[in-house]
Amino acid sequence: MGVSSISQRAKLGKADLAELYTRHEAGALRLAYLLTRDPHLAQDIVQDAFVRAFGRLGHLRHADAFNSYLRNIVINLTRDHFRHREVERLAVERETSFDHSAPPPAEQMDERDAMWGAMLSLPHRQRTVLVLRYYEDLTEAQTAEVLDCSISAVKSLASRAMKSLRTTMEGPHDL
Amino acid sequence: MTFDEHKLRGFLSQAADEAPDAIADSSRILRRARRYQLFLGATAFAAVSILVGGGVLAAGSLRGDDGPNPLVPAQASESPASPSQSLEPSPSEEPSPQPSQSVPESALLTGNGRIPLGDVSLCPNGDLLESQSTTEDEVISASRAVLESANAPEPDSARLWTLLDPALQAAYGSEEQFAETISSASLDKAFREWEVSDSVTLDAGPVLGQFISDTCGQAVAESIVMGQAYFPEFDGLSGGSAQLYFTVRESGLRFWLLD
Repeated sequence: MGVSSISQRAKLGKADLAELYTRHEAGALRLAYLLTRDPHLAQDIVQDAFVRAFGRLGHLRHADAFNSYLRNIVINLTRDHFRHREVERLAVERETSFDHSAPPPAEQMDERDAMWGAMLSLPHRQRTVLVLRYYEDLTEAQTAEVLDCSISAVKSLASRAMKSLRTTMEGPHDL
Repeated sequence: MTFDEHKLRGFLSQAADEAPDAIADSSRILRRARRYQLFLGATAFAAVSILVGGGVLAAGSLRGDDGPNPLVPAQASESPASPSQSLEPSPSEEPSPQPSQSVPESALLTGNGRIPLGDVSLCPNGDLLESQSTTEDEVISASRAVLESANAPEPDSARLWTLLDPALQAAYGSEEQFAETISSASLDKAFREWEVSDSVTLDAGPVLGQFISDTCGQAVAESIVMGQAYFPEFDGLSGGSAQLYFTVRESGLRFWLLD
């Protein structure tokens, strides 16, 4: 039972929470935005993430762990969001003759939009691996820890994600 | 155009600059965090209520008492505990010779079988919900205990809502808010059955008792520990396992230990 941690947490005042918030807000927002490309959704996710992180501060062993703790929550909330959205999308498709035609080819969009489209079309875990590896600069081991999977799984996810991006951005003939 | 990791890094770096600088309404965060802590505390308290209440009920059944048990809901429902009712017996009441009778009624499920709000009736020094939060493990335990109490394989917020005392329902504002909270609560489904050990003794320091002592006061803790003392299997709770909990069903008592 976390009696000691409860007592420890009770000592955290509003000033401490505000400081944690100030220090980590921007980073969390960038991460959430890269995973969603929706500024409002990113704000909602980060807000929820802070609420949860603050609510469970007591079981953090070290204050330095807050960033990775918050990061994990952001990733999980983003995953949950897309999971729910997928369920809703499938329901709509079942109910209607939803036109799910393919998006326009990459060459019809500018490179930046094409890149965003390619990123957002990736499965959530693949997209997360890319963001963690190439934006957050986590090692494969650190990424595996965040995603609660093996390093080989991280390699596989990253490889498949890069392959998909290449296919979208260069065309299948280049493979 | 060729695509490589360098290009991806450049894209991600530029794309991150498009992110909003700040949360639009950041002032809500601390308030919401407070409410979330309230939820965690309430959930943990609900688990404690179930643990303690269920244990005492099970103790009575294992002792094989043929006589009426003053702690069973049927009798309690005849005079349900008031949320503001004091734990201390009135001067005119006779001290009960039965150990189980010394456990405060309000430590159990209330007479209507609902989970009570942790207020002054259980915590004479108050502020359980306001001053306490809980660890994630405790939330998991609490969630599972509540889940088990509802006899459901998955959290069923509608079913759980019916188990909450109106005072606890009020803490959530509405059933919709409660459902939202339940659906977003972390619940570890990996658990395994726990073998009750003889090696753990009550003298090891009852963790649950300590928790209740800290939150509810020494008198309540002692009463509850007395209840445990007459139920040897409760010694497991004294072993310091944060993830241990048990539930009571018609088929008997079940112990669980979260991995």
